[in-house]
Amino acid sequence: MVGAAVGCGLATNKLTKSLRVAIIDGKPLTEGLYNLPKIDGVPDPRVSALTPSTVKFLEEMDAWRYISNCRHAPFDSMQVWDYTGLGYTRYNATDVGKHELGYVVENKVILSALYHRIQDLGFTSLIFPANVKAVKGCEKSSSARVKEGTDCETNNKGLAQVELDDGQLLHARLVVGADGGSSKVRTMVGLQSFKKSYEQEALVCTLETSSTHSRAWQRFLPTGPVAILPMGGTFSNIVWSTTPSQAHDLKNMSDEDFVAKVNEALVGSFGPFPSSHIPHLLASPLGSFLGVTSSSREPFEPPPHITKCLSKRASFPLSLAHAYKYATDHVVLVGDAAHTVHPLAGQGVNLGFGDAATLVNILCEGVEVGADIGEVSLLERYEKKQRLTNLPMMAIMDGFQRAFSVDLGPINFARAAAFRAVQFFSPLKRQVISYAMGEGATLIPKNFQL
Amino acid sequence: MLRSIVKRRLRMPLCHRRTNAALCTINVSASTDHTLPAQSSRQAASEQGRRFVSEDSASPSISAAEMSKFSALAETWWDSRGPFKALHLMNPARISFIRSVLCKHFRKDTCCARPLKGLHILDVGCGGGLLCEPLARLGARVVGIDAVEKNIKVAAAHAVKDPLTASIKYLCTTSDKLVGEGYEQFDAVISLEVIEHVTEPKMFVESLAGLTKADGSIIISTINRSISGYFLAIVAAEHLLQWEAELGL
Repeated sequence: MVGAAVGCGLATNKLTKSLRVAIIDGKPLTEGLYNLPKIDGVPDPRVSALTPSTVKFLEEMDAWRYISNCRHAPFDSMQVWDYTGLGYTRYNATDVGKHELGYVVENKVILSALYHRIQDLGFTSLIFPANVKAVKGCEKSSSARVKEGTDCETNNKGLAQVELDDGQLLHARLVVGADGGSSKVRTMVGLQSFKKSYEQEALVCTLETSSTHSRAWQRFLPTGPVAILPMGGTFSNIVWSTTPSQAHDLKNMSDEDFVAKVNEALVGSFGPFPSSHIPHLLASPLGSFLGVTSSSREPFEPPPHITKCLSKRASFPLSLAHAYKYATDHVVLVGDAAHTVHPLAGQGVNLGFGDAATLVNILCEGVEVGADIGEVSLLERYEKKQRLTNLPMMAIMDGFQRAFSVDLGPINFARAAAFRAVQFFSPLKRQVISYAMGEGATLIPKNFQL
Repeated sequence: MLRSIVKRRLRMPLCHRRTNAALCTINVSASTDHTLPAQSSRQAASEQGRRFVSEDSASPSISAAEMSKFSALAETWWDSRGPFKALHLMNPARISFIRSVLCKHFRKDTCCARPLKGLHILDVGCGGGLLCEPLARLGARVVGIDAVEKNIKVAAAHAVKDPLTASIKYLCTTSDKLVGEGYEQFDAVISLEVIEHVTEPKMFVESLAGLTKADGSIIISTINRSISGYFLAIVAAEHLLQWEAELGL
């Protein structure tokens, strides 16, 4: 998705639309990739929660309208609590004066929308399916995005070289590695990455709830968070991060057993519901005069009851990873190829889209001054900017993951205090919401932004 | 002789440091005659009597000491972290200015990747080609000249690596010689960070004018005459790095 977003961004910008771009994807071209999925039918379990910042990027590329004509589910509030029942936090979009906190969209819808937009713009040279065999003489790979430089054979010394498994040799000014967490492009060009496995897997599935809702629910269990995201109507998506063995059991049990387990995880197990005691000051009219968020005065609500499992269950391992360098001569990494993060806040793909937006801007700046777009000093400007955005977010997500995986009295109380602090202290809550929505400037001083 | 001189303070994008350079554009008007007769140019050369190390005959503009200094540094031109790091950092700002000025003068569309298409540009004192290559990528037909042969070789070797820059023509010569030979005239003649090194600036500018078409443009840059300019560009860069022996400043 992030690779396609880079292509789409380049295609929609006046300065870069004359670049010749090749998108190489090892997955076979599925029929209907250019046809947007129908709105009826069960949603695919692979979804992304897009922040308003990402939606703005998609709107700027005019790709969002394809998604908005297709299935997408806005959510306007979020409730987070843990298994101890000592505290909870509710976030509403109205706390920051917005209508939505984000949108839940199937990955195939996002991808189709981007390809649709690229095609509508007449952007040339889409090559797929193909696998990248080598980038500058390295080993086999799965997928990469390549910007073609030229067909001329003699003057290619300053260009990157990409060899496909069908024997074709491409020369490009810039190779964009957007091939995911286990990026072969990254390995082939020798870019090292820090990686820490969380010893957890995330299980995803589409469920049916007893009633419609437009709220994201997340309960932290000792084994990891279980999250329910609305998908429109009574469809919901579950992301359950847990131990590999439990993930395996959950994947293989019957649908009915699985539904029972999910309801137990959300409601039936561990501690009680958190108490909804709201301090008098906040509940009183003085509270609203002082600018207390509306969500601070809302009691805890139990999550929706799950009635059916509607799709296959799939799981993927979770890890924290960050490349030491995002770029080298004529090669740059975006998205999961550069960094992966725990899905507990749904930020991973949004960081990737942020990478795409910044890379497109930097390349435009390069084209504007006639620079070689594969020049490492230009790519390092992209890296510098994205590190400032990505690293704090990753550190915070990692911090949450650690804080919630410890079952110890003092830590539990500390977490409860933190829940209550965010729930009742409105300025802090607004900061948290703004940051999570992708308005990153609230946590990063403006003078560091390039 | 030259109708209007427009001086602008360099406006730096946030991502580049202040470089204390001053860029000046001179728009050549149609009514003035800029072609110096070949005879007078050769006379000027012999009258000055200064010689420098070169394959061809001497030019009055540049001293021998100047050129041998730059020869030593030619190979490191393209290392963006090397001795010419400041030039590399400054380059986007210079190109941005040149692009905007030329687009305005020649009424070109700035919102495209190759706005300088159709323009014939001469870079006088091109060094390793730091200016020529971006201009070629922006669509111009570029000729780069430098009095130091090694620079020309470095520039040519680097330019051939990218198909978009392989068409740049590099010549080891000086502007006065080109005028003397009656070389073709250009839409724009650009000379960045050179005039401070020539011994006869007036003659140098006259030679630039001689190579510019009627209604063309001349762009010159040099170090700002300010205290910070002195310390940063003269003392630090040129004295400490020994880029220049004597300037008299």
